[in-house]
Amino acid sequence: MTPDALAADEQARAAARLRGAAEALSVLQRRAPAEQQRACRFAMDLLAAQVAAADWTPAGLPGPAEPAQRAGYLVPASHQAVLRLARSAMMLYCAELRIADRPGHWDRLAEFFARRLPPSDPELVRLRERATCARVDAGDTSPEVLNDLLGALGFHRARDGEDAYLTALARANLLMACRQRRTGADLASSTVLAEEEVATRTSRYGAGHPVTLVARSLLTLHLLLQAEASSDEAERLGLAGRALAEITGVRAARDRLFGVTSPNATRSRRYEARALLLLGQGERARHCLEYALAFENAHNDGQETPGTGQTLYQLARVNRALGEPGKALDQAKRAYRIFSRHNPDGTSARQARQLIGELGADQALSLEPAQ
Amino acid sequence: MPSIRHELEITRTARWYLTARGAQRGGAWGERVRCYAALSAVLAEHAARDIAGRRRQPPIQPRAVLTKVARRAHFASAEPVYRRWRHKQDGQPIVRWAGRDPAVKPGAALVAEAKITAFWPYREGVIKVADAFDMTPAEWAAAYLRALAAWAGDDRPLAACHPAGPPECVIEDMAVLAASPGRGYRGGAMPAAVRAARLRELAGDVVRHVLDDGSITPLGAFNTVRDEVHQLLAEPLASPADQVVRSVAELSDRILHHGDGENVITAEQASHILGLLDGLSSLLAGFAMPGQDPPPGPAGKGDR
Repeated sequence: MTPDALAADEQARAAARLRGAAEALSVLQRRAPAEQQRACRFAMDLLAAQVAAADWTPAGLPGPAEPAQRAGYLVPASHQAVLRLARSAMMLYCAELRIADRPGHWDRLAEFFARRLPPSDPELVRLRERATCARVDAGDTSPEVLNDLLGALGFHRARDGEDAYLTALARANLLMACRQRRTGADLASSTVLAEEEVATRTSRYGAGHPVTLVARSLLTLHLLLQAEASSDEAERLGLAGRALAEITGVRAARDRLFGVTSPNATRSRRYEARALLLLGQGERARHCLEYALAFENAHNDGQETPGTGQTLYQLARVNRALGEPGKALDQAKRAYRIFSRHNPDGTSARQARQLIGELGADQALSLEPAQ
Repeated sequence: MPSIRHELEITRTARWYLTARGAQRGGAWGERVRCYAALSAVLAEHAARDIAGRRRQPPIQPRAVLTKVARRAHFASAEPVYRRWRHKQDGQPIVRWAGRDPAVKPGAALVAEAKITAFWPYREGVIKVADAFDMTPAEWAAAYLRALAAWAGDDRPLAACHPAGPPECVIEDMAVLAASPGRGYRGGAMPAAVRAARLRELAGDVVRHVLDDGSITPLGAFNTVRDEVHQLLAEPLASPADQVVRSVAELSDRILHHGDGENVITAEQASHILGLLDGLSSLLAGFAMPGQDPPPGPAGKGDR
């Protein structure tokens, strides 16, 4: 074998090592935020030491924890293994970034690789899709964002097939964006799409597969939003009952798969509470959220995350419904403080602000002397 | 107790790989790599011919594989390739991974070795990270199986080559992971060997999913087996604190979502647990706020 061929083989092996490391680092996304930060720095050390001629500053990623000590065969920055490791690093880095700041970092990462890869490279398309999802998370559901997600869906349909895994993920991303728009027509049509998605994933992967659980959870959210928007009591109760049955199953599966304190099990508990509130079972909803908050604190070592804000916001709604405006106002303010720290212009901050206003008005009303 | 990393570094395959890579005589490793590369090229050609679409990669079983590899690697005949992977290994600078069993034909020995060496760097990447972050056995398995899926996705023709599935080093590695929860594992009645056998099957399922759908991600492929992997490797009784968290969650969920007429807890049990929680709260306060004295316990309960 020629020295050049042997060197090429060694370089391919170095890339494969990065690929294995990227998968292992991704497992750490289930750990507490501080551990994720450490894992991100570890990934940056790997990138700095083993990737040829790449300054990672413009890519929106943090610098390495230690000065790079380059050794062995270097992998070109355009290699797919490098992109996947950088993507894992960014996902871990998001644990310390405000939601409002994440889209900018993802965009910089996508641009970094766009300068090195052809536009139709499937990994680059997925990276751009991820960057668009970060925008949706930050509350941007502009026509441009929806167009980008539609484009990604079209790409996967054409390349991978209608019922391929990545096509299903792209469809779910589009659904989330439609759901965030929260207009009546969008909600109704996206609920139908969510039902179809659940059916497709259940038949392909089974009802308990995590990817099906995501679709089932999304369907629950659509049902809840529809129920909350409905003025017909019978319809509201029907939708809430369906949502509660669905999410209880999802939550039990997530408890088993990821642990009771995991963020997605906590999210399921929040949905359970919303369904219970709609069904007129405010006390149960409150208990459910109090436990969710306790599990969230256990998972995050007491650190306040946007998830904590969501739980507090729901608790405020429940306490308001239970006739405890003082408690509700405290919780709404805490939720608002968290949301405004992470994403001041986002939907969650806006909703919390609105709730604070309404609670203030409630209190003012209760203080008014009787006429 | 040796770490999982240590145990994975001394498996039979790990020792073989280390020796093989270090064999300098006559460029022995380089010549082997030349054959692996030729095999990959042969399989890729085969896959390109057979594949109906991008989605599914059917199993590949090329005929006269040694001859094709020899031709592709520009050897004058099949003899040098045959010699490296036949069961008689006398005088070979690198002994074949499959050993001296004549039942293992040279073609099968080459394919087994090519799969192992192709997957090996992915495995090395996992070991480096998992060890640095002191992963639990369940996390190790998640990282390993995701890397296995990544390998299968990156080299689908090799993963699909008969016998389609993971490299055979997975057998030893799963045995290491299956034995690891033994350190604190009291709840599982399943012997480590049975757990290892099931983990091997699950590794096969992960690769099968990658071959069935070219677009599935390593996470998606691992998720198809996550539940069972977790059940096989989680340490449910390792820590009393974990048990409390789990029991609190289970009890609260059952109280909140009990069925009509179902009696989840009696008044007496509730009162008993409340009493215990009072005492536990005092004990925990000292841990939650280090450096501060725990608050005094509830009046009248101090000496119980």
